[in-house]
Amino acid sequence: MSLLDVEEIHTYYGQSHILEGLSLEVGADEVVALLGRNGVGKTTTMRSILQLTPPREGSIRYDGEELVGKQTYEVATMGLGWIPESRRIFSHLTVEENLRAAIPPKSDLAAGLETAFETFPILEERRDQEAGTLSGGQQQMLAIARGLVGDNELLLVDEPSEGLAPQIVADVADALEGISEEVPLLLVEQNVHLALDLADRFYLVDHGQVVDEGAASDVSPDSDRLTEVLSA
Amino acid sequence: MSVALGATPTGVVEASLSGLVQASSSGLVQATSTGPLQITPAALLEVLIEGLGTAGVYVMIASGLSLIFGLMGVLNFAHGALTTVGGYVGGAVLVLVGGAVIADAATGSIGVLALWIVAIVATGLLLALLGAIIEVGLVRQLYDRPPIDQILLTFGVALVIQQLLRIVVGLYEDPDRHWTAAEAAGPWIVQQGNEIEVLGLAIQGIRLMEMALGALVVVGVWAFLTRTRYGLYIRAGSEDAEMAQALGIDVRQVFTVVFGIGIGLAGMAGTFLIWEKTYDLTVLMGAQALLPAFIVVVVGGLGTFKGTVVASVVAGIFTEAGVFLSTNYESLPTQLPSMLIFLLLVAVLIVKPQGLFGQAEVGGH
Repeated sequence: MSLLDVEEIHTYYGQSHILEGLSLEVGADEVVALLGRNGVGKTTTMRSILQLTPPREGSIRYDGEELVGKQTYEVATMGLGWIPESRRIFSHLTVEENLRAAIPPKSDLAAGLETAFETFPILEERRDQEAGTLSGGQQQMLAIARGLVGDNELLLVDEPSEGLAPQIVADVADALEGISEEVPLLLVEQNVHLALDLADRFYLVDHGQVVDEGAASDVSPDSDRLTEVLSA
Repeated sequence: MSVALGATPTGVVEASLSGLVQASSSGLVQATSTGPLQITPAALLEVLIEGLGTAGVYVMIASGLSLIFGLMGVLNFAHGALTTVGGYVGGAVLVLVGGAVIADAATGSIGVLALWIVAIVATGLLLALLGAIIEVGLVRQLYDRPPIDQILLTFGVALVIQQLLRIVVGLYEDPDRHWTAAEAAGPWIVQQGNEIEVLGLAIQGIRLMEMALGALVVVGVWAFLTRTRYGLYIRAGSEDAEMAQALGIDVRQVFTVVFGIGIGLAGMAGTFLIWEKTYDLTVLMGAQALLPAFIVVVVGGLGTFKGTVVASVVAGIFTEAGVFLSTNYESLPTQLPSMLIFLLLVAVLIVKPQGLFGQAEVGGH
């Protein structure tokens, strides 16, 4: 049984029909990439799973439990973490406060902080610094660390390389690769090379539907199978 | 609004502010309509102390407004009406429960003082509960609607509360006249004209209490926001409520707690206003209390607690400077205190439209 099972969801923004019967699965020990052009519904898929933009039709089951109808915080406390597009760190809180906000009340605070600082030592150096004053790369590390300390069993990672310098992108990719050994990931990433390097499987999304899927090792980033949709 | 000083100051600070007020032989500034303005250190100290007392009242009312707007993006127009409810609830506790000890009030009975403190705390708790009920029952239903809907709702709540108060209070008292029985039931220290000597200065007791409670509110709210997990959730939710939810924080519950705290503080302030001579405890007191509170919140920066505290002090001193000048210079209008804080508002909006410590964006759900 899959850890996450999204089945035929239809999601709208007002009257705009964004997801038109999208379905996907994420297994308990895999990295799944969602590929597609801008605006085809990748981020909306994540928002639908988290119930930030609940689907009007369809089903989303996590570990066998239906998510549709739950509050976002309930979904999060079930073990779904979100590393959103544009980081969305709390810029007026310190680095440590950002992490503390993400550590569940019943979890070991010190152990959570230690995990974050071991993964990203630079964050420990800046623990008392306002997060808004960090560089873009450090902010991304903080966003990932926030997902890491939340006792999550599945991480939804949205555009982790967006706006970062190439060297920083490599660091972020290394970090995600390390995390993926312990936590499954559903990854949205415009950088197809990076996405396929990290992923076990991929879904290709167009117009709010999955139009192709397969093993990441079966496709090359420049193959016609992908570029026909991604560059359309 | 007088603070009598124990000793006549030796130095005189002169300032040329349009020749409005002249120092008297007693050391305090006195009114003349012709002479140059001379402000003694004693006069400045008087304005400062009175201003800090007024700041204490402002910060009690405005903190709740600021917290609610900062986290929830809701401009609560019912805040003033709920302040009035606090005044009547606190007054009722004193009048009904304190009957047995009122006779000792004139002697500064510890019993009356204790009852007064209990009345303020009980009012705060009761109003916090009422605030939580209003949030869950009414305000929560409109979070996904445009801000104008929330404004109309809270404005409507204010009108309903005002009319309910008129009906209930009207059964026992004149709702449009100051409730003197409640005022008389307060302890000696807050009664008009009673002073306490502190470091050689004779200061009105009510001013001391306002400063003390204002400081307690500032320290308490600051410690709550910065030293507790819930405070962390409030600050996180104020920046990005959606992200906070995605981290597992029940932001709606945080909204309820913040609304309750905000209304609780307003209720405590309402009890205080019974003895504040610029206010009358009538069913319309809320409207009078709401305006300076809104100005404080805007001047400080919408949704910032630090801004609210600083703006309360500035607005308090401006208000009392206005009171001082208008009472000491006969040709100045009595509305000068209000004019001065409106001028403060206009100046801040021109120079720094987001307020002294404001952020570009706040709130959201």
